[in-house]
Amino acid sequence: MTRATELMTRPAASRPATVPGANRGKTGRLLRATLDLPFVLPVTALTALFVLLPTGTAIYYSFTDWSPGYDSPWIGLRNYTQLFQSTIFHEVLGNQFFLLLGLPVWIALPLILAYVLHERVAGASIFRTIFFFPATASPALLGLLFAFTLSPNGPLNGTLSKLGLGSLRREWLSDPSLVKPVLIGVLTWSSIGTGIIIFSAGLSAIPSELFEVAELDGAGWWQRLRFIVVPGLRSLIEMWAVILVITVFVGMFPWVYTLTRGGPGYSSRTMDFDIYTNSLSNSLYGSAAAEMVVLLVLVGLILMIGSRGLQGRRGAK
Amino acid sequence: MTTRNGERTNFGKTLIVVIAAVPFLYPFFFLLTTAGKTNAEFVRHPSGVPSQLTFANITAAWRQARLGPAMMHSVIAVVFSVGVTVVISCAAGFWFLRHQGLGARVLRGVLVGTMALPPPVFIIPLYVLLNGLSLTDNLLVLGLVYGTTNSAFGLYLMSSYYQRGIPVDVLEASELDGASPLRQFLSVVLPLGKPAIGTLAALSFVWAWSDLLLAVVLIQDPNKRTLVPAASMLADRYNTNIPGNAAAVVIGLLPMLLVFLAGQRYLQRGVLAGIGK
Repeated sequence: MTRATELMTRPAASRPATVPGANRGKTGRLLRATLDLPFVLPVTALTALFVLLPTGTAIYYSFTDWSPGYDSPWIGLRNYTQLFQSTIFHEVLGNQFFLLLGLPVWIALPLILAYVLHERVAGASIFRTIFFFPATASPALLGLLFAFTLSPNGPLNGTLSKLGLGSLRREWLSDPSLVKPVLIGVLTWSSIGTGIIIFSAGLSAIPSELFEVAELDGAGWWQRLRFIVVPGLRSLIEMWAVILVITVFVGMFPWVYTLTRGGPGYSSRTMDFDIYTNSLSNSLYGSAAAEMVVLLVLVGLILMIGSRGLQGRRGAK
Repeated sequence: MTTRNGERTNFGKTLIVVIAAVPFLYPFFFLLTTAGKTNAEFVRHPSGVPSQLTFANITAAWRQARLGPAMMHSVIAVVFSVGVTVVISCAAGFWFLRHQGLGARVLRGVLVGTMALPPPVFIIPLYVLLNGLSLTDNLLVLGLVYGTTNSAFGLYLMSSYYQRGIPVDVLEASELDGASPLRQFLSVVLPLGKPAIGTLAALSFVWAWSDLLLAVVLIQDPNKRTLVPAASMLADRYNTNIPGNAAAVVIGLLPMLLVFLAGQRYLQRGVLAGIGK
């Protein structure tokens, strides 16, 4: 028997609870830390090179007239003032906030479905699978799928005609008043599975007696949803909301690229798509850099507000 | 009829769920039927099953539209990236198990915190940087970048798994046995972490395979494109050949479906791990 297995079978009280090597003194610890470095160096170096350095670069060049490969003179805040005066950028920001109107739907639908699936539904796990696949598949490929499903002569319009609802046929992706609601709908479709998985896990942590007692007391389905499910899942709902808001700000690129290319006009352009187009297609690197920094600040703000909400409630409990 | 828990099935609720599932299945039904139709038939009957099933769209997308090589490129970049993510995340997770001082905690916070740095913020400067070093249009570099960006989550996942699942005295005992850190890592930590590695591998595969943004920016040579950008650009160029586009999407989604069916449990666990459950 090795010492390792001996130690593992020994009663817990007699085990020393120190970190290995902690008793070797300062030089011992330093030596150990150095010898251990190869374990943490790769991830640190790669993250510094591929993520932190470029983020720092974006911040620095946002104050310059950035033209890669050439001199990039310092111009102070001019990129920012130009960005905030640009009517296109106003429209892009407006699009971002319009998309947030989907939040109540993106939260309520998976919540309700998770709750329905929680109680006495045959084949509940099969349905969870069906809802979950779109949440794991590539948004770009699903965007392509919807690009032709929603095309003027595509199957959605075809089906509407077949059902005698031809008056509902629309140019789903090229009507400026429809394109953002359509994006909200597509995001509902692609996000619902993740929401269901999260809320299902939360529901299974709520004691089932709570539901039984409420039912005996005459609480209907809706009342149980309102007074047991929603309060019980509050922190998960808040977390899901933060994930969704961040997705709207930084995860729209594949959808916009495959569905609308930001059009018609600029009516479906989002910040991530705008950054891509401004830098790589229009060579406006400086103003794109300012936009990257604005996006970074927005994400920071969202996370701050989100975590404050979560901590505040935890403290109150 | 009863559910798994032996309760009586509620038919009303089951019906609601069945109806809710229709919009999630219909697009895939449409995708498959469209990919199996000739363009002529699609123009006449955009919805409904093909009168005669054809695989011509799939073979055309695979050969003429060169999705075959694109698939190969994706496999190279994605498999490499999954290897990178798993290796560097596990190794760092082990390091953070051995070192829990203030410095280590700050470093862990910074590395895990990069999860909050979205690719749209750093991808363009990264492109400029790599382009200056002639490292764009390189599948292994793309794989390395995926491997790095996915390792922020990977490090979080592995290190919290190790901290919960590996008692410090097991490591100490093997150290007393004279095992070097590398030995401890290989024979104690890696085997004990297998379930979490499965989760990480499944998630990082799906993330890397799905990506469009990093791929279109870092690979601009049409001969080196990976699958998702290749399919996206094909659909753009031949916009009128909808059955051809559908075939491209089928080819792209098939590997994802296989990984999903094999690793769905891992993927669900990964989603829950991501929110700290």
